[in-house]
Amino acid sequence: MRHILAAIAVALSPITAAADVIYTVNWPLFSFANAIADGRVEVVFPAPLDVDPAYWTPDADTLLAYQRADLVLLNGAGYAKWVEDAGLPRSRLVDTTQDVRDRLIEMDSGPVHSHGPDGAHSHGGGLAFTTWLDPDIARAQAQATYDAMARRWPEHAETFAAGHAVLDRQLAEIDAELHAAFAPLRGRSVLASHPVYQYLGRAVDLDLISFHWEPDRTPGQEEWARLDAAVEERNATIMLWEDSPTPETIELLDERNVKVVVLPPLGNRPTHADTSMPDVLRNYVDGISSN
Amino acid sequence: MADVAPVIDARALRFSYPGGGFRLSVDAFSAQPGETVALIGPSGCGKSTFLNLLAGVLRPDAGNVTLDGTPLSPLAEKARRRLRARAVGFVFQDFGLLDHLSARDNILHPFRLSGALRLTGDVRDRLEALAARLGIAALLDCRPQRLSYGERQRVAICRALLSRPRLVLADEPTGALDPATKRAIVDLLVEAARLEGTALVTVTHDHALLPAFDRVEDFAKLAVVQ
Amino acid sequence: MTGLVRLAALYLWRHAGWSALIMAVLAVLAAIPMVGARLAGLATEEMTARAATTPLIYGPAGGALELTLDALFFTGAPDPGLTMADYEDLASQELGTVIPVLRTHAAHDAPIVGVDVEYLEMRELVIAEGRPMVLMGEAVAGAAVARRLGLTPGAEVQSDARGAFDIAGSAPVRLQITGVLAPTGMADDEAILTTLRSAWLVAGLAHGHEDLAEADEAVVLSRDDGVVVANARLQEAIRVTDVNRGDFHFHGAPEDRPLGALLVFPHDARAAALLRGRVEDAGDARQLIRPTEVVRMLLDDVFRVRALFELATGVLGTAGIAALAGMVALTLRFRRPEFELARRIGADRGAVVALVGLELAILLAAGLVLAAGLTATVDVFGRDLYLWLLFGAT
Repeated sequence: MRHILAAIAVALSPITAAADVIYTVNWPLFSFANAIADGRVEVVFPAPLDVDPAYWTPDADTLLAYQRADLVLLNGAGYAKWVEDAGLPRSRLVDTTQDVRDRLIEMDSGPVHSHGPDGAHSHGGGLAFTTWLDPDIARAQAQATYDAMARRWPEHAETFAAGHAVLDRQLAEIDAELHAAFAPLRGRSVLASHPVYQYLGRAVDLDLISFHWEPDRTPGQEEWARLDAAVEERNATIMLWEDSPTPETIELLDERNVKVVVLPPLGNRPTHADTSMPDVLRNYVDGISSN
Repeated sequence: MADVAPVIDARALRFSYPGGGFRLSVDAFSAQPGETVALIGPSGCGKSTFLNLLAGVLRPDAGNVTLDGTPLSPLAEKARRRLRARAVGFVFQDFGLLDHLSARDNILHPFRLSGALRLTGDVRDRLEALAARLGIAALLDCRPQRLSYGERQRVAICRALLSRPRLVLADEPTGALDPATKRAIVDLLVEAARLEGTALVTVTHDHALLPAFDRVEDFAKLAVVQ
Repeated sequence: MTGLVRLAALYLWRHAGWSALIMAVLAVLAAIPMVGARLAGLATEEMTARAATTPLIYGPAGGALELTLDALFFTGAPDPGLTMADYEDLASQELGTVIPVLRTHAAHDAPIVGVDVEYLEMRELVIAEGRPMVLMGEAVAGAAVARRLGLTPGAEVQSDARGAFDIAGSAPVRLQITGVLAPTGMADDEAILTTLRSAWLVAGLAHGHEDLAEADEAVVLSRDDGVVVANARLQEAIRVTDVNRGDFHFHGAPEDRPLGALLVFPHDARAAALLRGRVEDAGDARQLIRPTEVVRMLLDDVFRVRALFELATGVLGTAGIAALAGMVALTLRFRRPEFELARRIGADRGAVVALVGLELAILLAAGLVLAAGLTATVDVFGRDLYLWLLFGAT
């Protein structure tokens, strides 16, 4: 009798769901997997358009979909804290920066406190996670993605290899182009609206000075004072923004001879749905070159 | 009586129980077909033992019993039992009915236990007819506990007669009955014996019943008991 | 013959009380070895089947039986002697699927077992109601424990206060049941399965608290240059909600978090052999066992006990039969007038013997049927019974 019930329950609610699907935690990984898969497997990045995936928390149904996926591509470096808390099958998680852990960047820590038996600790700090902005690390992530996909679906290994080869070549080309584009700024100080360009900065040898300025808000006097000090001390003339700042901010920056360069960090999908990661990174090249 | 071979014929019987203390000697006894014989004598004088010797239940130490022309002594136990089942009907003072069986099953009891008797449709028909004659047709599905003593004895008589025995041995058949019923039972037995041509040997100590029988034997004169 | 059957049946029917007593005694005498054999068979079947579902178990050095009981049957004293470092090390060898398992606490005597969610797939567990656990604080209940505690999706179950770590002051945790599993006939029916993270929370290895930068001054002892020290009144959350989930944090390095065992499903025989070799080479601190071998050894012991049981049953049975024979002999003595009657009316001696024989045969047959029925109920209740007998599980 119990076996009949079990059979009925299988029909009603299986734990394993549709086959051949990859879920990713951000858009760059989605782009890589899609390019490699070439349609052989479905790739899903379910975060809504209006959220930063790094801080987004999926609802229960979406978490279940992640749980049932054949592969879940993680960015690593502490990206998407929800992953730590979610019950995802570890053998199907792929940390795409695992092989480059020694190249991950530590950030400044948050407030230190203590309670309980373990002494002082901090919940701020950690690792910078916009790893894909360093094309070289992006290539490593693409490689990790390909390796996992080929292991999971060896029957498509050839197709995946071809897709990965194209992607890798594109990323290598962009790497060279970025270096060339940022060459005039090498070693110089560059301002950043948020601490999200660490990997880019390291890759192209920028001295990044980061603030916590929101694009939709004009900063206050204290913040401008801090910026003025940086401009004066470090002779910074460019400020990288995730999105266009307010006209007032642009004007005030212009008064200080600081040019605004919008380089979206690309955690979520860009406006144009059919844009690929290499294409978007090429926009960085264009964005810097024009300034 | 016409010169017919007796149904039962006992000669020079000697019997004693193991351990001694009781010895029975009977020189001669016989009964003819249809003859009704009353054996009278006080209790404990060996009448029941004599009946068991006549039926072949007990083996005499000496002498011979011939039942329906067959000497019993040479027969093995199985043959004697089968002859007894076929040729002898018993009626007991305490009725000898089994409480867990209905009247019908009690009457048919010998047919289920003896290979000498076959329970056929004719037997069942005869049972119904006998029961009607004995006035117990309506009681056949009752168990003994629900019957009066007289009714129980009628059931026992029906059992004794069903196999058309050559000899009916009744040991104090009226001992447990009231006076009116005693007479009725004895009359039934005697009438049935005469009708069936069955020899009836009845042990009784009730003198009031003796006129119903063809012959009365004083057991004290018939047998020597020590 | 039919006449004798009728007579035998009528006798037994009319003496129903006596007949029932004899039948009951026969049934019990027959049932004891049959039930014992069935229970032993159940134990063998289930333990062997359960062991066969898991090729290898990796655990701390020590008793292989204790490790098997903990990892497969969720019984015995929990002993979380592994860490996540063990898991990462074994998984990284890519010789098979590795499923971590941790059991430290129980809820109303049902073991709370932290697992990687892949456990549900490897065990082919089906969600009969609701959905699998996905977040910290969520759990699914096995069919038997759900029935026992009346758990359905949406219900909560609270962990018992004491567990493997016995951390003073570790608060009980209320887990939310998101699903109920379909029955499996195995130990998972008796368990509450949750994520590893939830299991660590239950074990008292995590804390949830207010944002200390804005903490109520009543709980703050000092603030000094970005270092905030709070007192013990800082509340530890025992129910994980969407509001406070983000506040929980684990102290210590992730690789040091405890595990009880690793269930290992090697890709093939070669992978299994490689794994065994590597574990042996690594030294005495860890072991890799084959549960089928452990269970076989356990059952050998059980069979030795069973032999004793059978001996005791034999003695008991002999005594019972002797008593029964005495009862029957006494009854036959009371039936002497009936047998005497039979002799007088010329019944075949064999017929009387056959009659009594038939009566006993009917009683014996009825007793055996009853015993078979009793044994059949073992299939319904026996698993609970043998689990209770062997493991003290309720």
